[in-house]
Amino acid sequence: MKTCRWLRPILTLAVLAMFLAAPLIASAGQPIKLTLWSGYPEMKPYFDAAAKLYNESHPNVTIEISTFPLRDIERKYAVSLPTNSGPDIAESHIYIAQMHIENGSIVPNPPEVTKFLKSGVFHPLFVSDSTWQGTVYGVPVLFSLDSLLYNTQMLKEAGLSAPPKNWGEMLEMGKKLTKYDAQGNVTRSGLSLRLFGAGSGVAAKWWYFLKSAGGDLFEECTPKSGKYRAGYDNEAGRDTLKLYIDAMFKHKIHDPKLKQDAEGLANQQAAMFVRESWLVGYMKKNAPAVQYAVAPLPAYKKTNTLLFWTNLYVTRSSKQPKEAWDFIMFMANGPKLRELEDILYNTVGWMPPRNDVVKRHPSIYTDVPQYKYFAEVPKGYELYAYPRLAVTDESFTKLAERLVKAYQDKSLLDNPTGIAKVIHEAAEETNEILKENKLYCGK
Amino acid sequence: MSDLVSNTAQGGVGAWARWRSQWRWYGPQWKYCLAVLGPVCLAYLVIRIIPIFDTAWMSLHNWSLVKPVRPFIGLDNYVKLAGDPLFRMALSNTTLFAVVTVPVTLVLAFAVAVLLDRPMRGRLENVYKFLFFLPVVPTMVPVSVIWKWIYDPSYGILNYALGFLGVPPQGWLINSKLAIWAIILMTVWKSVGYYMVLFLVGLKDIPVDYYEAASIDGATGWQRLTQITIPLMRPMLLFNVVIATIFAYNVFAQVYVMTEGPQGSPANPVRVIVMDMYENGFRYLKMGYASAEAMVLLVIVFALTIIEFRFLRPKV
Repeated sequence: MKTCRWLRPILTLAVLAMFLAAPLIASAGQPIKLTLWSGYPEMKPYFDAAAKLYNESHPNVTIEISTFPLRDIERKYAVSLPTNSGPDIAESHIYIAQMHIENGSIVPNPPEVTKFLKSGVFHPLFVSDSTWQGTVYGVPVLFSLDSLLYNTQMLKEAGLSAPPKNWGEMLEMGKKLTKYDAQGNVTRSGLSLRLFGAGSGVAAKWWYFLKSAGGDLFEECTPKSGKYRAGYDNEAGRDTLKLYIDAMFKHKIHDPKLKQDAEGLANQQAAMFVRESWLVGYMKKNAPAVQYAVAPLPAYKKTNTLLFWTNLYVTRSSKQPKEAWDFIMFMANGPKLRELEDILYNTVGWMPPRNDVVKRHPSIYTDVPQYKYFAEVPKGYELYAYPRLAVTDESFTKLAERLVKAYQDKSLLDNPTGIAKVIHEAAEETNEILKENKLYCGK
Repeated sequence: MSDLVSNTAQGGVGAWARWRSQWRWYGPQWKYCLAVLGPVCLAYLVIRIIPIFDTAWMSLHNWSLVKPVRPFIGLDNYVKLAGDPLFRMALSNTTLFAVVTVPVTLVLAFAVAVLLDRPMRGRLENVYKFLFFLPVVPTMVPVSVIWKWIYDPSYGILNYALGFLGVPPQGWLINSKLAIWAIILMTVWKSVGYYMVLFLVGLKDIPVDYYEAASIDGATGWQRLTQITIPLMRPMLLFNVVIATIFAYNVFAQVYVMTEGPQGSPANPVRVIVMDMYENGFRYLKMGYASAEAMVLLVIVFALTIIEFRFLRPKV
């Protein structure tokens, strides 16, 4: 029997092609499970909705969302990411993510994602601060400016028509807004300050005021040297601590026994305090009757405010990085973008980070006026971001404990030497941390 | 010389032969013991003993949780610990915690146990036991959350109750002088029931004849307590003191919960060793340094246990 001489090679090639294509054909419909961890429990409705919507168009992909308190997730990342047992997608602030980026536990963005980030859709600070050694990591998922929240009803009762613009006005208005009982105890804070609680929070809140005073947690000795020293052993640091001491002991506009932070505003025990936009969601859920408004951070020697945001990162632990990036891009630039942004605005309180968001939600600042000052940079204000050194958290936490102690020390009132000593000792500790990590440049 | 070697060798061979014959003699028993105890000992070795040596090894390195390079630094972590004010503060707070909670809890538990060991009418005895034991049932975390609310300066029931006595509201967890005492109070409240049950078990083991004989001899209640009950309870007392001391030096959950969040206590006034260890290990990722703290804690607890055995063991 005569056979075509081409038949054998053609059949061989066909069989080979079938073998090569088989895994691809099989994997197209294979179930894929992605995991996403977030340190912001209030974001769960958003991620759940995103996972559901993504699953509608990708039925073989399911996404498991887990949220944890911020303090807990930092440890979870620390233990899981270096051992490749973390989630596929990690939501984190840059100052927590930095050590994992340096360690290679977080993977760089694919070129198309970086191209999207640099296309002008986001504020340039998002991109520049997410870049390390020329490589971009992560995609922003939420943001807010730090701003002053104030109870409008209380301001009205005190005969005040507008929120404070600078520290002087802030203290004066704080005095008018504070209420006392017959024994002279504060029953309502005119200005609620974060005075206690473990972790870095106390120092982070102090740092906003420090930045207004012209100081910083770290200052780089010479530009781009990569070497630092504490940036608050100076007049700015001393002025900021004095602000707190005066508010507590001279003007008596706050009492640590009262609820502070979000609970203070919700319980109407605080007239003014500084925070981010998640308060909108919190107040809607917990204290819808409380009337409050938002204003830019009161200025002092500098007129500036913090740009706060978190990124979504794909980790080295991920077995399906392609699908993980696809899901991230679905949230950042997918067909359901508007629907997902609605969840942020209406349920969560954190705001969508894209520049063009108002085009899709033209009435958002009329519907929820509080968002305006959390989103729009006030005229003349400079923006700054959290320091991105891997030692930021340790420095903040240790500084926080010193501040907590100082806030209870009445002898610091009208005591510039005492204040200078507290600040100097705290700065020495920060410098020690920098030294340990070979980041210190000397005084 | 060669005789000596030969004798020694012969002696060795003889011992080996004896051992082999004994092994054969006791063979089945040995094998049974090995089969039963072997896995348990192995599990204990893997879960308990090896991690201690591992921790000791880590403490000699600059062991970061996220960095792949972990250089050997000898005793540097221990030298740094000696000069670390936070560690000294943690050690001092933990010691204060242990020095107060251990005697107060045990004295209260013993007193309650002695009172409940008397015959009571009806079912009251069991009701009291249940009430005293109730705080032991929930784990430390929910109990700490409840007490955080009890201590709340604005809405806490403690300040509310003290208000009736004219006491002004106190920041129980906020005030750096009160915070550690607030945690001690909560821990004592939670632990009394546990030790009470252990003491009750010990009290039940004392023969009633001793008390009857003492009564016939005209002994008072106090004499019966000091001459019969306490001496015979020494083994149980020793056990409870050792356990309570170990628990006290390992205090963590209540401190962690009560310092959590913006309304929580500042960390330093209540900083305890395990908290400091946790912070260094999992917050600052310095596993080597945290391991050095763990080794110091191990030595302290071990030394205290030996001292307690020395002074409290029953005198035969």
